Amino acid sequence: MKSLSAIAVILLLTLSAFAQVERAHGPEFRAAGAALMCQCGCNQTISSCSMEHCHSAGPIREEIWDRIGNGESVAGIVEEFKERYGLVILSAPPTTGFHLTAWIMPIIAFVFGALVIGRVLRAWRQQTVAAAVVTPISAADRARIEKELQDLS
Amino acid sequence: MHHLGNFSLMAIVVLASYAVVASLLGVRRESSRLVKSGERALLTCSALSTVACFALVTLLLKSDFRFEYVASYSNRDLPFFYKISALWAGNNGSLLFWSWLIFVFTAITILTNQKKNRELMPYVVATLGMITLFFTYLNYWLCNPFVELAVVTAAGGAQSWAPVDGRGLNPLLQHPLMAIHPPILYIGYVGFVIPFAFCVAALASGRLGAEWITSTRRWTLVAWFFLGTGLILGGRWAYVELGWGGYWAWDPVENAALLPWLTGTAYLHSVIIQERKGMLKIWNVTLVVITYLLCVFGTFLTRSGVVASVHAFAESEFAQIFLVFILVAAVLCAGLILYRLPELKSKNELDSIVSRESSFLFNNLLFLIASFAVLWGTMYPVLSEWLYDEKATVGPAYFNKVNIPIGLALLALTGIGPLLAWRKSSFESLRRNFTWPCLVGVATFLGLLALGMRQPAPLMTFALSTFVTTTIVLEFHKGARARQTHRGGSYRSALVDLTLVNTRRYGGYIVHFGMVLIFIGIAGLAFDTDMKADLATGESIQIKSYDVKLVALNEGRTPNYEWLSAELELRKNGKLVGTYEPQKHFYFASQQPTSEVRRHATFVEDVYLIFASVTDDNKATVQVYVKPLVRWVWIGGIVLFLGTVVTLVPDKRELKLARKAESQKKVATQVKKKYEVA
Repeated sequence: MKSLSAIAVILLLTLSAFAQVERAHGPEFRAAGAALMCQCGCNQTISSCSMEHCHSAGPIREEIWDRIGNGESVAGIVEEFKERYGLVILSAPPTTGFHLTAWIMPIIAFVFGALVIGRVLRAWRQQTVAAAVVTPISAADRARIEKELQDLS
Repeated sequence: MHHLGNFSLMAIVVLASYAVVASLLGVRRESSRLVKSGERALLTCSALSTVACFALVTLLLKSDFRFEYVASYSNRDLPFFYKISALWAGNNGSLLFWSWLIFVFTAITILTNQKKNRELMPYVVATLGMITLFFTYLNYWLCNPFVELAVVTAAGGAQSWAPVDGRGLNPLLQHPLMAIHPPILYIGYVGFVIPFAFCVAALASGRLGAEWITSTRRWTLVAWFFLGTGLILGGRWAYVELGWGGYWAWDPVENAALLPWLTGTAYLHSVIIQERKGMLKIWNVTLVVITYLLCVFGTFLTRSGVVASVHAFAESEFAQIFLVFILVAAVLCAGLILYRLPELKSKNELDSIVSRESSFLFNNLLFLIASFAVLWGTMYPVLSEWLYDEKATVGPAYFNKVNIPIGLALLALTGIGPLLAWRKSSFESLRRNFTWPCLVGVATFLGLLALGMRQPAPLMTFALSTFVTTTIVLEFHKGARARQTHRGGSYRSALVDLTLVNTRRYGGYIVHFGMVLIFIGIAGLAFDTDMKADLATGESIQIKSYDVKLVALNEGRTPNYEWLSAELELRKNGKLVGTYEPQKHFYFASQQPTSEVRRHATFVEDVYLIFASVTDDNKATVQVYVKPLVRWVWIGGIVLFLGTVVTLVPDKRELKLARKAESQKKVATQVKKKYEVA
């Protein structure tokens, strides 16, 4: 318990420290870098391509740094790159036209799954209720059981 | 050596075919001799597969560059350890290693089931025989690692040829973690073949009771554990070796390994309902089949070149064969499930929607949706190009947006599930169980909000993490208190005893706690900060409360590579923390450079130092990341490991039953002997 408490204290202290975190560096650069894919074939974003002297990520990173320094917005920078390279530069498909399917399919799957589960649970519930209903025994059956019991004794 | 390797592969093809035929014929003719001979044939295959692997490792160790595989993935100065790990560095060798692992698991299964599961074993052997036959066929005919290099002579013939040195192992793979990460991941991937084989055997034989579930419970857990550990080790390798400051990039090959882990996790939960209440039989066999097919799909994705990935092997021509294998297996399994549908239907009982059963169903739904979303996103570029004739890319921005809500819902269920009773939870029990966890969760949320945190995802993660942690602590506490009241003794011994009496339940809670820590580590990503600067000696940069100063540029060389390092002095709030030397390596054989990062890691945050390059005016380009909470991801991984080990330990009740059965057996033998003497 002591070690658990110690972990909890460390975690809470750590969490409270991050509540006050300063966001002076990086978030815009990282946001733009994460929204754009590197074109060197590594299948990583501009932020995460680790190829030495990458012919794609290197210049794009430099351009993003400069443009953020000039006060341009992340959305504007991403849009400009999209116009230059096409959809392949984006790290997520657009939310329009055919590409909307990329976004809505998981939602459709979830709704469908939830409906199926709802039906399954209802069916289970009904089976339980049906099994719990006590069917009254008929007079003929009662007489037969009593007779069989008497025969046994 | 190569003749021995090739002979072994060829013999495996013959013997595995025999094993399949003999096992199925044995069942049909009710001949235990045929069934046994099928088993022995597969055991021989296991030995032959070991010989084939040994042959390739010997060629690698001898640096025999007459062979294409050795010349492509090894060189003379490659350290001994990495020469062995070159076995799984390339497509052909890794497939050989993959097959060997299946054979090892097959041999263990056959040897441990000599006296049990006899009705299932012929089908298990036939299934494993067919799978191993497929992989060995690929290994012998389509991606043989024993192919010799040859040059065309002036006369038009072919002549054996060997380069002076090999191309060497990819420098990024020359890391201790990369030497152990692939085998561990493979054990996970391959391990699911045993539950799959037993599931097929249960369907084929009609023995659909608890037998196959009980026999494969530990296999499933072990496979799941290795797959999870492989994923975490892969993340750790990416973090310390790739030098981009992250551990998960939603790369198709990473996703391929995550998919069976997600469905496997769903199965580990839903099987509890079958074991306790005999429900969800159809669902469980379906999940086992899906999980195994996703393992094969992962192999297909890594080896086919269908999607681009830094982790994938070079494109190979057997993509279609793999797809055919997956399709045939899926159709056969679906057919078997449909055939056995009437027997798989179970009596289902549920008193209330607010129950443990419902929470397990929703847990399964979320795991399945998560795996669907990952699969959909991974394959979307291919689908988009195929259907719409326009190539789209799906990267982290998509996966994060789709999976963060699912992950948070799963985290919430991790806490809610154990608080609900089986069949029905009364209002009173809900009030009693939820009060403290909810209070702690809400207090965390409001506290962090008051302290200025505004990002919704980390805010929810931290609140839910404290909620789940409280439920886990309370579960242990209540159990230990009750045990202490009944049996006396100290609180600590009650706590240990409680865990040992029901290792599955309490080991499961430890696993849940490990997941909570991993979620906390992931939430830290929202607070990452980074900076890049060109530094001359004596110059420094400031990032958050840290100062990074370049002290000197150093250089050196080893037989394998030459290196350049930036000696950096790290200070926090003006106080010296340490001196770190991130390096750049340049490998001679592969002519490739790599970055060797250095980290100052604490429980609060990591300072991640990269020496990117040297400028023309001899300045060091240094990139510094401050990455909060990363260490909790690795600690969570260790807790996950410990929790799984606890769940694998047979609990006291199991041991008691086993001892009882053993003593009954002894008594029966003694009585039998007495009668025989009399």
